[in-house]
Amino acid sequence: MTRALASFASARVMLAGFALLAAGTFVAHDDPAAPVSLIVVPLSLLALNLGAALATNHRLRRGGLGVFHVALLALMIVAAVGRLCRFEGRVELTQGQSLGEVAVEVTTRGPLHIDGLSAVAFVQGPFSVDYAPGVRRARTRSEVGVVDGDGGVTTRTVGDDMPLVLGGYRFYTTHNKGLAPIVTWLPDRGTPQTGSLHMPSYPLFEWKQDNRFTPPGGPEVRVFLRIDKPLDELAAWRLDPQTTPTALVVHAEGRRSELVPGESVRLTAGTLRFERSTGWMGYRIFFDPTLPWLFVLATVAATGLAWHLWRRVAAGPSRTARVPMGEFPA
Amino acid sequence: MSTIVQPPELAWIWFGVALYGLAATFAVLAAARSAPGAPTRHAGVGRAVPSLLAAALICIGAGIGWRWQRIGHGPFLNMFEVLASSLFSLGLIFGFAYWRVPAIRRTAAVVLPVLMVMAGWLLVSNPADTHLPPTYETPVLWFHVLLGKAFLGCALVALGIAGVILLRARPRLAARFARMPGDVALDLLAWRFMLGALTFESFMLIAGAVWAQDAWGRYWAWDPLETWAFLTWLALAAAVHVRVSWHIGPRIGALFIVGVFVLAFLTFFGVPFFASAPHKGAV
Repeated sequence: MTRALASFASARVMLAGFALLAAGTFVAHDDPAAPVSLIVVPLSLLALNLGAALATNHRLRRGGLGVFHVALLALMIVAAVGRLCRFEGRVELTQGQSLGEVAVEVTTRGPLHIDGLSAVAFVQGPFSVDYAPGVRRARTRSEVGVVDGDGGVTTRTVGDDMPLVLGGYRFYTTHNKGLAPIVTWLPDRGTPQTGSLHMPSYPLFEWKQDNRFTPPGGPEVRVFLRIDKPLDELAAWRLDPQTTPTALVVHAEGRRSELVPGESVRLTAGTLRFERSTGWMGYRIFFDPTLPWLFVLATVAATGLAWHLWRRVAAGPSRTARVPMGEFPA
Repeated sequence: MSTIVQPPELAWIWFGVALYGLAATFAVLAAARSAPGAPTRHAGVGRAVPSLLAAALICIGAGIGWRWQRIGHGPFLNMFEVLASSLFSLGLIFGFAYWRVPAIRRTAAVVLPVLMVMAGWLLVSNPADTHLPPTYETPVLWFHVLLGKAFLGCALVALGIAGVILLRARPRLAARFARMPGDVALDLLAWRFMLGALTFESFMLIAGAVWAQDAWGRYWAWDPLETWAFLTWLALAAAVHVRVSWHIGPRIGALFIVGVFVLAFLTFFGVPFFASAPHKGAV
């Protein structure tokens, strides 16, 4: 048993693991659809090899080198747990909308992930994005209302390097955001309904601010949002959906109407009113309960390496030849 | 007819590059004329190297500082800024090692020509002003960048030592570096710097992951720069283990060091050319 453990702990196995991991990394980077096993198998092999080496080689357990190797092994295990519990997704929230009202697009869900997102609640508030000349995105400020423990709502500003963290879920603003005119459908019979029209990302699709919908009982409506302040690519500007001057161009039943906020158009089964202009913000959602542990273990591992190096430098002469200071040996 | 307006700090940076060139030339000349028995009248050529290097660093540092003050952010973005800051930081690290470890002074004949390659590249890079993305306005970026410079600086010093070991293997050049310590002692020194490089790269990857988590909502996504930085870390770790496990000789060890440095150099300055992910480096 000990002999088998020792042979598995060999440097040859470790190098083979390194080579497999390098090859797997290379292939996975080149082809995002490559199976995750290309990374997982070599990492598992290396973790087992390191575990066996720590069990059989007492020198690897001593001093800074020991700290480094033990923390590295723990890091690999914790990273694996993190992958199993991970959740990643995307969501687009219109101003005034709460997280629970919209569908979250799940991009990654680990098999051991326990849903906690349904318990997370916040409401999207106004946002603004600064742009430098050349349409280069600068500071993003997105206000969100978070329900606190007393039932009150606390306003928080998130954006760029400042995510919103609720229940372990981290919400990051993204480049994906746009305008969302609010319209009310007043049917001839029935209850009026107010909703937002989600326009394509702005200014990315500045040329394509259109959408179509069919109000209950009404005809199909094609809308185009005309922004009355054209994009000046050479100037600095701020995207603030609430103050952006817009007109809603409505195409329905063979007619074209231009509406400014507060104006309506009469259609066959009711009236469509353009209430006001707001915006929508796209968020990236990330959940990994091991995040603090990954940081601590990685830092401990690197500190162990630094300690090991320091002891070696302090123990041995670094100046293997003495030459007068400031003089180039001729 | 339109005129191209050059940034005002360019004169300082180019003058610094010229001084770098002079330092590199003097270092090579000093090595070339240092065979045992050679006349000592050329000793002044070698003695001028540290002064020229210091003057070059002052000029490049002044140019970077001026640009920083003018555009409002540090040299982190385009290839011109990354090359200028690397030329400064790598020269500074080598200068510090040159001062503190006299045994490696002769490696200036290897290190400074390598830096001259970067200096030549700097001269043909576009010095246009850059825009700092909001995700770069974080103190974590400072740690990430400084640790990266320290990593490449340690690898560069090790490369200089490895270069001397390999050059000495050629009978015609052996005499040029004969006054340096033996290969075994140099090998020991070079691998200490490589261990330093491994430590700094490990911390650099951690700081980068912290930055990426806050900036892009993920600590690791295998983007090109992350992938190649990890491959470099893997190659460096593998090289350290090979040396310890199989007691390879100084010449084989020197070849490993050259290989790892080339990988690190390509990661720093080559990957940005084919990367299109957010973390695309300098281009």
